[in-house]
Amino acid sequence: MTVATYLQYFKIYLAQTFEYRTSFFMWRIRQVLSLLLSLFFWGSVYADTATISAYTKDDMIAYLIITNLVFNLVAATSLNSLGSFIYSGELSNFLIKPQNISLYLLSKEAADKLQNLFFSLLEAGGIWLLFQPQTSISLQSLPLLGFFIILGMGVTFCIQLLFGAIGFWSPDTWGPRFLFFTLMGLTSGTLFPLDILPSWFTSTVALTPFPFISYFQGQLALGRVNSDHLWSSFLVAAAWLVALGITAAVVWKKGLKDYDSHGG
Amino acid sequence: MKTAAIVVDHLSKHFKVYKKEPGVWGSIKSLWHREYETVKAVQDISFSIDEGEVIGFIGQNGAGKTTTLKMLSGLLYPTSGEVSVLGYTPWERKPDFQKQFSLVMGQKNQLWWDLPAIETFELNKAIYDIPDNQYKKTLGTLVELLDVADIIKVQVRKLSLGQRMKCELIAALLHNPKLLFLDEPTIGLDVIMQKTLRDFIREYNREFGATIILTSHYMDDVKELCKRAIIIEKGTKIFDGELQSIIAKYAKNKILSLVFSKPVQRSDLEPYGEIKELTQDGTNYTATLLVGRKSATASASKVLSKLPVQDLTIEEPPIEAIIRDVFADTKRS
Ligand SMILES: Nc1ncnc2c1ncn2[C@@H]1O[C@H](COP(=O)(O)OP(=O)(O)OP(=O)(O)O)[C@@H](O)[C@H]1O
Ligand SMILES: [Mg+2]
Repeated sequence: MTVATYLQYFKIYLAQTFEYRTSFFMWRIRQVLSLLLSLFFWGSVYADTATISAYTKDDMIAYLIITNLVFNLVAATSLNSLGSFIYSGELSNFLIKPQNISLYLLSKEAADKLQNLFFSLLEAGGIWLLFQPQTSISLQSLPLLGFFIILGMGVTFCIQLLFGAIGFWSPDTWGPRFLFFTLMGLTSGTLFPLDILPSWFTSTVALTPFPFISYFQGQLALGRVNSDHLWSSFLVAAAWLVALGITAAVVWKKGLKDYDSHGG
Repeated sequence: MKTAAIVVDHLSKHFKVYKKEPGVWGSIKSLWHREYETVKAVQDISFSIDEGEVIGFIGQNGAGKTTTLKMLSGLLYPTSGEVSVLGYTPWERKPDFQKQFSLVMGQKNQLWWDLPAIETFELNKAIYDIPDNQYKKTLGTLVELLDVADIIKVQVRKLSLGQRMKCELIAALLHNPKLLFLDEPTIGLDVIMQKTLRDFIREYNREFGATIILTSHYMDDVKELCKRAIIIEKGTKIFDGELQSIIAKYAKNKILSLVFSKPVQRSDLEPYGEIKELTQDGTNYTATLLVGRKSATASASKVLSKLPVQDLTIEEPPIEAIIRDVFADTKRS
């Protein structure tokens, strides 16, 4: 059990990204198209109004580009098939060797995130230049932004572990995930800033892990977070990370014990 | 005195599986009502294996062989019973334990499908913490023994089954495991490749004194590699002892398969053995005889000299036939 092991996994997965080139490019095109679509949609909404809630058209464009970039980092995952990886018995190959399964999964995610970061930055940069939103981005918030992106990644990693763990008991891993990720897509703030909805909605969502998928980071980048809001958000996010982390650890411990190691 | 590498004590594994009724209606019904049943895959098995022994673990399909190996390697928690493997409890999955064995399954691969085998080897080097010089030396030896120098640089998905199995073995042996669980390592391979792997496994046992448990449905594998056999049937152990003694007792015959160039009469064949099958359809003339184990070669040479033989093979009876006989006997007593 050494660092070399996980570096090796990281390398293998990074290399594998480009093995299936067509799928890879199709996915990237999908990302760009969906962002463009949402920008054009909002562009037409702004045709006969100057501001929506506290957002000018430029604010909105900047917000959407940034949150989509953050979403690609925080929510995009290589662990969608974790449940079937477990249920099919493929996990056995890893479980039988002297290595840590969560570190293995983490290395896999890290490789996925790194290539995603690289391409998402290129795409977001290109689109930014295309639309040139006139808005001030607070550069001091960059370290904080990075911190909350990593926090968000931790939260989604635990959520992935939890959904994947269904595979220890049932082949039926797709349904619950699908419902959850649909909900997450709607409340993470990539489609619209959450605070344009009534405040009861915003304050309810603020207690869930969802805003940390991208909405909150978008607010940070636009310099719209005061220090009270910052601290309370940090506490909520950290509490979720701890709670989800502990739950994932407990569920996995039980799962590894009940594991059926199908196949062979 | 030899020390025990593996001690298995009243080991059982029961699976709870849900019974799905057939058809669409069955599927719909299963939405609100599911019936479960218990499969007793392994039922109160005990045995012990000494260091350096090569054991044939045999039984019909579904007998519980793979399930037992999965418990011995710590993949499965047992329902009840105790196991000590190299002094460890396998399902605690301690790294120190995991570094000392390998499980090879003929039907599953640990090699990365999209990458050349050498990448998996490198990965295992890191996982098992194999020192550089030991890795180079072991890899060199294994690659030469199995003659796969070029193959290991080709993407695994492009390899033939036999080539892949050789690479699987290398991946499993790089860390010089003291203990090997081989679950049907020769399945689906042609006779020559089976022989190559057998020789290799025997060599590995001799060189490193490794303890090996081998499951196989091929008599030749078990006969050539194992002195001792454990037979399980429906999850319970029905035999544990010298392989030779069951072969002598139950496999009295060998199978002589013949192809003739001209028609032959039943009466021509009768003197040589028990006729199991005789086909004379105008184009094909074949026969299968059961001949005494000891007199097999003598019978074969007589048939060769007396009859118009085009082709001839002498084979062991299938392992299943022996298991059935042993099983019938244990039930009787
Ligand atoms: N994970 C599982 N869940 C439910 N039932 C299982 C599971 N694994 C094995 N079984 C059942 O347990 C029994 C023993 O299976 P096992 O795979 O150990 O047999 P085997 O001796 O290896 O057979 P084969 O020679 O066909 O490989 C079978 O009836 C099988 O259906
Ligand atoms: Mg099996």
